[in-house]
Amino acid sequence: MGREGYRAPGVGPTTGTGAGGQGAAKPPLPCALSPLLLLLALLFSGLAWASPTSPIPCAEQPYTLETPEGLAGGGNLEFDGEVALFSDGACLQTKGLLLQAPSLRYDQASGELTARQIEVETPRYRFWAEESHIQDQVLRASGIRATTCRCGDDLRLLSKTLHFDTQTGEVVLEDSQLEVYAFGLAHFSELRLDPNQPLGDNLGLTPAGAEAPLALPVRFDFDQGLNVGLSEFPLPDAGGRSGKFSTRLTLLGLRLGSPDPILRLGLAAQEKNRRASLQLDSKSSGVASRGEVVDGPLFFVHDSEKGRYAFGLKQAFALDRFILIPYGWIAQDWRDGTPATQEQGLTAGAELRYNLEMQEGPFRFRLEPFGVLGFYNQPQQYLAYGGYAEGRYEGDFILQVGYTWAIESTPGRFWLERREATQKLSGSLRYRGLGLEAGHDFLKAQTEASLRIGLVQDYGEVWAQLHTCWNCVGKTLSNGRDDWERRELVVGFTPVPLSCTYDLNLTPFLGYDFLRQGVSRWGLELRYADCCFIWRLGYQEIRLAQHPDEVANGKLTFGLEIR
Amino acid sequence: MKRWLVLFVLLSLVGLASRFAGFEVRPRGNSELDVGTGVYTLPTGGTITDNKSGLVLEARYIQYRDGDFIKAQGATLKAREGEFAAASLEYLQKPDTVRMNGVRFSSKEFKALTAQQGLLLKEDVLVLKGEVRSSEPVLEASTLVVDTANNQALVLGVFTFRDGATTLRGNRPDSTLLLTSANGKVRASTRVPAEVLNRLRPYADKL
Repeated sequence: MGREGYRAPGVGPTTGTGAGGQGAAKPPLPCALSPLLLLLALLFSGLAWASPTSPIPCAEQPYTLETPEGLAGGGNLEFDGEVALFSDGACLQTKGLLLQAPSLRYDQASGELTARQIEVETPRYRFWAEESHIQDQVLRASGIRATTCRCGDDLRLLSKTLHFDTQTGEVVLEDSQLEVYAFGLAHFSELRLDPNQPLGDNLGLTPAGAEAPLALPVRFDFDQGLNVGLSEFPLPDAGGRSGKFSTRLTLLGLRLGSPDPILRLGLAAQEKNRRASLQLDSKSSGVASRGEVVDGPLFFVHDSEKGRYAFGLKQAFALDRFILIPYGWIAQDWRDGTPATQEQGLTAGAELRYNLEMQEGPFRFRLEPFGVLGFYNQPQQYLAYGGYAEGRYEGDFILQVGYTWAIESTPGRFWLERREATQKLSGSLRYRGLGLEAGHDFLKAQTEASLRIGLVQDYGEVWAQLHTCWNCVGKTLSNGRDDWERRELVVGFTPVPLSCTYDLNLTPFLGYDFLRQGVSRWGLELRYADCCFIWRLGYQEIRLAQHPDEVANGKLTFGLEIR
Repeated sequence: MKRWLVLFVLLSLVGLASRFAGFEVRPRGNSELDVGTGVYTLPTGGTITDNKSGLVLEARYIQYRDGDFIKAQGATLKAREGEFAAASLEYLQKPDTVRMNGVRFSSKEFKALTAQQGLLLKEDVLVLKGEVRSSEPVLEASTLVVDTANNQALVLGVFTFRDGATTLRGNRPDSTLLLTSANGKVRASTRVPAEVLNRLRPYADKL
């Protein structure tokens, strides 16, 4: 029900599939053919990048030879009962792989297939190799070039060797280099690829759990001033052993040209059970820092602007439906965000949660009560309890009703153990293009509701969304700012994701504030797809802020996604 | 692939058979002579043995005229390496040909090679046409031309050949596969030299 709703359908990054691709030397396809191409791409999911040298599936080659390694085919064949030699365009089709080469040799006795100048297609990648051998369903090749691009290879990986296990689908590239427009970005001694995953995921560029494809780690937009620099810029590990970008650098100039510019420097690193991040903001008022270090149950977190520091441990133990989380830390907190209310001390305690889920046909019920009991190095205890109950129906329509509650005996000393008192009833209904979400906060006696209506067409979705907040004036939010009434209608158009190369689309939206009688926001984003990337250029302006988190301003955005 | 060798060997023997020059006839019952035409009829069949090659033709019904033709029904043509069975068989001395319908050839190596029609020519060429099938090794083709003199066999049209774990297919109606025997090995090639194709393809049209 927040501002995120404006970006909901398609304004954000899209996840286009392999439709509309072209072979390396082919001219762009007319976009009028897109639906047909999309259909073909679905039918031959792995063959969306049909090569100009052999556009037909292997099974339709003039001559084919079924081998334990897969189906080999070609324009002609010589076979002496031991060695088969395909020529005049050869191919090999096996699980998750289509290999093409000018010629192909198959030794029946050893079961080995060899080919030179091969092209391998998987659903998301194309590989070229100078030499290749396939045996026991494993492709070994050398002199590798790989790309995700639909045409050309402006984004590519160059590698000495490739090892592709067609059974597990795992590809390992050894001694490889990532290049963009022939500019080397990173070197990996061993890079593991899942050919069904986007390159961003394989390189660890897409944040875990994010659905969006790789977003450009370079920021260039205007919002109360110019924001420019590197944001979460991925750095390969020293030696490139893991083949993942797990370290990220942030070097940003924010609000440049305004009276309150910020220079931000950040570094974050992540491993399996460890992560660390530090961010320094240099402002005219001084330097602020925030960060965290987590190693298993141990952690250290701080935020100098909020006066928060904590070092402690926290570990979850699950037993059947119960989760017990014992904790202990030494901490400092500013209760209302100023040093005047500083609290320092030790705390130890535990949180117990119970998770009950039941499903009967289309009905689901979930109940998750919890209790927290903590002790301080003062004659004071902390007790909080509450929970969440949800009923859900998923049939022709989706209806969900939930209730969240939490009760604190006394206010917690530190933000880490605190469970703020809450009593909220929420519900949502989704039926075709209609979506309704509503919530009532009993403690604040305020109601928020959002209604969205979308009309889906072949070319995209026309939508309208009404945001309201009733009886919200003056209600303080958790960030200390006051809320206010809202009656805003936003209308927009979200085109279907770009599937054609050299195609572009526009995503506009416009908002109107009925209380203040004026345009609340508007925006327009231009998206352009080339062979390898989708380029985004947009402008959004908030004219009448609708939420305490919003500031009336204009914002120019520039983005890039890997197709 | 080695099993194809047997076919070449057998056909060379059958090629000799088409000469049926001095043969010996043993009727299973009566032997009727039409004195007007000189045609013998063996209504209950019998055996014709070629003394030179040792080929034996057994049939349930036989008609022949010495030096001219032999017609047989429910016939079996036996050689040392294998035998042809045919629903009907017609041997003409001029031109020296054997024409068969409902052909089945079997030997130690070829369990069953069948075709709707078969034609043996004096040039030691065998043409099999129409649902050419063998079960072991598995062959499915529309036309097979075997040139014994040159140790070549030409498969025309859509075909499947399975030997062990390997299955070879020609997927198009204009597919060609040339099997060549040399030095005890049989080679298969889909690239048929124009000279060979021009020589062998016309035989297929004779049937």
